[in-house]
Amino acid sequence: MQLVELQRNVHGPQGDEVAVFAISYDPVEVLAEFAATHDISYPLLADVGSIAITELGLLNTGVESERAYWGRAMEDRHIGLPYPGTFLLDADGVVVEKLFERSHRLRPGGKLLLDHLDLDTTESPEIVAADGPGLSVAAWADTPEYFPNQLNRLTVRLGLAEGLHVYVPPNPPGFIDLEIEIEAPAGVFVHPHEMPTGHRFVVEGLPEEFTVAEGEFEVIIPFYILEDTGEVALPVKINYQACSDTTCHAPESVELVIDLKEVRA
Amino acid sequence: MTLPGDPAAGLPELDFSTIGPAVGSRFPDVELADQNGRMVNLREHQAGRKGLVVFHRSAHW
Repeated sequence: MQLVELQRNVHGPQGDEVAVFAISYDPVEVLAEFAATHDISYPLLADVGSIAITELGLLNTGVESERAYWGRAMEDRHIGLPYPGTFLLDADGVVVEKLFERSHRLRPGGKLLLDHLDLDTTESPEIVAADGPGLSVAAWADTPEYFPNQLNRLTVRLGLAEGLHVYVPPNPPGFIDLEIEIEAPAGVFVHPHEMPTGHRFVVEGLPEEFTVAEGEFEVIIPFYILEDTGEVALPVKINYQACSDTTCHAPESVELVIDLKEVRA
Repeated sequence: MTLPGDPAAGLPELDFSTIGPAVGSRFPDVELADQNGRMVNLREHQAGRKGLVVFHRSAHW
């Protein structure tokens, strides 16, 4: 599925900007059949005997113990596997980043790879917007049509009205920090996300110091969805309390739903 | 990376910075046959573009 996703989300829209290569121990005939079935037009490279994989130091020496972890025996096909991962290269062929996993199960999505290469997809995101008192919210997924087990990301863009701020962690107990709640349906796994750093804020006459954020900022929330989960409605709830330098409004919530559809190769 | 619910979370951590070509080094000039049986040289095919070199399990299983 990762190879199909790369065709659709990287090579298709950005083939002029980024060269994609996929390497495995598969022989040419296997790769030819796969490429024909899935319309893959970037190079699927045949490293029969895992010679290049070994020379590059990428031969996965932990397959047997990994199989044991899953309670499964080693088979012939597990010999010669590389560590699953991706090298990101600059235009001179220099490695700028390595994204590797311990398991073949979870892979970075194409949009994430393009972002890490400072490229962007040509497609506009499907933005879902909602407003609350003093706050506008826009949210979108990297790819609303998701590939199972591909790391996807939800971007939540928050914009506060002029003169208002929200509390962001850390703050003394009793103050309502900005919070993004996602009640993940079955089959959806959401990564803990980082809130904006904010800046120090002091209210005259109060002994405490606060941390607040203002203006427009984004929160990135990684997630992935298991195979055969089908259509997903991802509920997103933003809890906040907007304040000016002198007054705080009542605590509010903004809710929206991100619709995601599974791609079946 | 390890995400909540990832059954692979119990696998031992690996330091991938020491595995394979290092960040900051030039990726070796690999030449292999593609799905059409044509020899592809990574450096020549990259042709001044940014690059992604993906190592995967198999297209067969």
